[in-house]
Amino acid sequence: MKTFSAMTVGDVIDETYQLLRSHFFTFVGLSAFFAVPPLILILLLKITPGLKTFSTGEFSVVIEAAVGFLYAMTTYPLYICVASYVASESYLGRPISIQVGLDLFKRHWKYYLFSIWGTWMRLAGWALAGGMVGGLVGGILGFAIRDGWKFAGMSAAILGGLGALLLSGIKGIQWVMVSQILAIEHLDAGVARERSRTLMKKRWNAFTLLTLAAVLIVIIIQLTLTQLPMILIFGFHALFAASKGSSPAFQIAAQIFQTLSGLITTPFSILVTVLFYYDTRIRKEGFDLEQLAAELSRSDARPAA
Amino acid sequence: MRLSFSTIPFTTGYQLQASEINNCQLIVSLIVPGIPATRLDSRSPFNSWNKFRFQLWTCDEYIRKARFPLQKLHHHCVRPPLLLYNKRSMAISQTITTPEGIDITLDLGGVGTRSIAAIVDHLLQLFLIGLVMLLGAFSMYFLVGVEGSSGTSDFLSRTLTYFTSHLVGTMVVVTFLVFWGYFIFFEAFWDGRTPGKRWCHLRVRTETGAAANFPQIMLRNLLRIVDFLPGFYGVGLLTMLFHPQQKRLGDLAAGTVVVKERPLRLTPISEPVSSDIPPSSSPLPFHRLTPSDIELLQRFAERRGELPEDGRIALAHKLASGLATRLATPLPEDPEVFLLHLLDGHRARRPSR
Repeated sequence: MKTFSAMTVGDVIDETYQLLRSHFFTFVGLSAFFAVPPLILILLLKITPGLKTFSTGEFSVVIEAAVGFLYAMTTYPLYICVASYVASESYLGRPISIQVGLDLFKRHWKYYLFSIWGTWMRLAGWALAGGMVGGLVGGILGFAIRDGWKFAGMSAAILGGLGALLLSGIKGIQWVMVSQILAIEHLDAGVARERSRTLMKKRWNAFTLLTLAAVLIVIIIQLTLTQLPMILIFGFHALFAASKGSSPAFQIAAQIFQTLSGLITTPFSILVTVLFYYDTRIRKEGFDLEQLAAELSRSDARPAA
Repeated sequence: MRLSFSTIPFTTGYQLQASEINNCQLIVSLIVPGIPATRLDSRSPFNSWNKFRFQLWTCDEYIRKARFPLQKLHHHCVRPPLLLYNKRSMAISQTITTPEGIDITLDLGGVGTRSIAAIVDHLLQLFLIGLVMLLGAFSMYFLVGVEGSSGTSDFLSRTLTYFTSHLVGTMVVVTFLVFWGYFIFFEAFWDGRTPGKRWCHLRVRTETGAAANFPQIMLRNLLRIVDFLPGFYGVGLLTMLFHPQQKRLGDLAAGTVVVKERPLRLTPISEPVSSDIPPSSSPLPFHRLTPSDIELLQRFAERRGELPEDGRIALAHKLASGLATRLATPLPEDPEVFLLHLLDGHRARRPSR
């Protein structure tokens, strides 16, 4: 019988690494399902003669960014919910596979998509409100300090940006568990946001520490997986290639390694959040005891002598 | 005799004497009044200690100097110092069997705890190097100042010049020693620990659980530079991701592991948990409680102080309704009191010997 207990920040990352190791191909496969199509699309844009103008023309950066943004907007909410569910199942010691995630995707994709979009829209609303209030205060202050539109505009922009960042940041942290709650508890989006806010109370310090540690590890893994091969390729290219500079082959290689590192680091980040969610439930709701009670009620127990 | 300490039931008949030696370990003396080894099975009655799956930890004295005759514990009722910790089911672990046939499970440190320990150690290294630089700068300023002043003898002047010229070299050497020697020094002379590892309750051991010797510590730390490539332990992190025991290259080469030591929270065995609440008005069916029920009740009693009020009430309601159904008693008015009465009632039926 698997027992659960509250974890330290180090324990959460240990456990994340352990789960990622145990179900490596499931998590990577699930990530690949969502991350490989845009890679193929970008590669097609870069190497297909007819489409090359899109990837090398004047607006190539804009086109790539637009394609990436649209793809992220539609797939990321789905991926994060499906991966959170699979990560949760792995933590609870249940059997998982890519199929489990894909089945969930087929059944609930609309619910996930609209729930996450709703949360994002609200976040954007908060950012807008913060920006407007900050901008207004900044403008008035700027005008009061120095009589001139230029200075007032500048201070409005700075305070507006800070206000937007502050409000959306606060709400973002309060709603950080929404995807996990949607995926694991299947609650309504509004209820999920409220529940996330309740769970996050007095957990900001732990969350900040965990985020810092996790981000550090993700950056290191990403740099190692992308930079190390790129250094080798770049060296090879510099030594043997006839043309110098950033060739398409070099760009394609960079894109591939970036996607490959993402296949490992994205599930890592999702696992960290899922484990943080369970850790919070253990600390605040006695989830470990609930599980123990559920296990006991399932098992056929004899009275003590 | 094959005996796994993880399965020893600390029933009310046995006693444990515990005294804290530092913030992460405890010396616990187990007093067993001549119980034959055959009685030591995991299905014996429980007491409050059972919440921990006790593991015999590497008893430093035992494995290192050792071969402490643990069988004597049962045959002759001696009181050996056992270093115990509570096992976490989630951890990466490695089980070894000692020549006496005792299974020892080493709870291994993972990427998270080791990374945090490494961050602490490197910050400390930076602080030490900074301190050396600062001391050097002050000394140089002081020496040059004295040397430049009038009235100093030739001998003193020559001595000061000598020291000044050697100061920079000394600083470089000290910095080098701090950078390379920090981990080697602490791990070799502090029993496998560095300040960062101590903070994270980690310790370097050999794969067999014994203390790592000097060449092993040397090797694992000299290879640290390879693990560090291409920056910030990139290679080490990737190696740990793919190795079942999450070893970095240095550990692989030296045959070492980094083990976790868990703090053990002790609660008195026989202290009534419901002393501050009114006695139960109706008799409760204690005799129908299963060992697992009792374990659940004990864990609830231990955890209830940590849970926020609303969470505690909701949890108590869930647990009590489940137990009430199983024990065929009416659903209690106050679920928390019901649970605590059940536990106290059970304890009262099985007094400590």
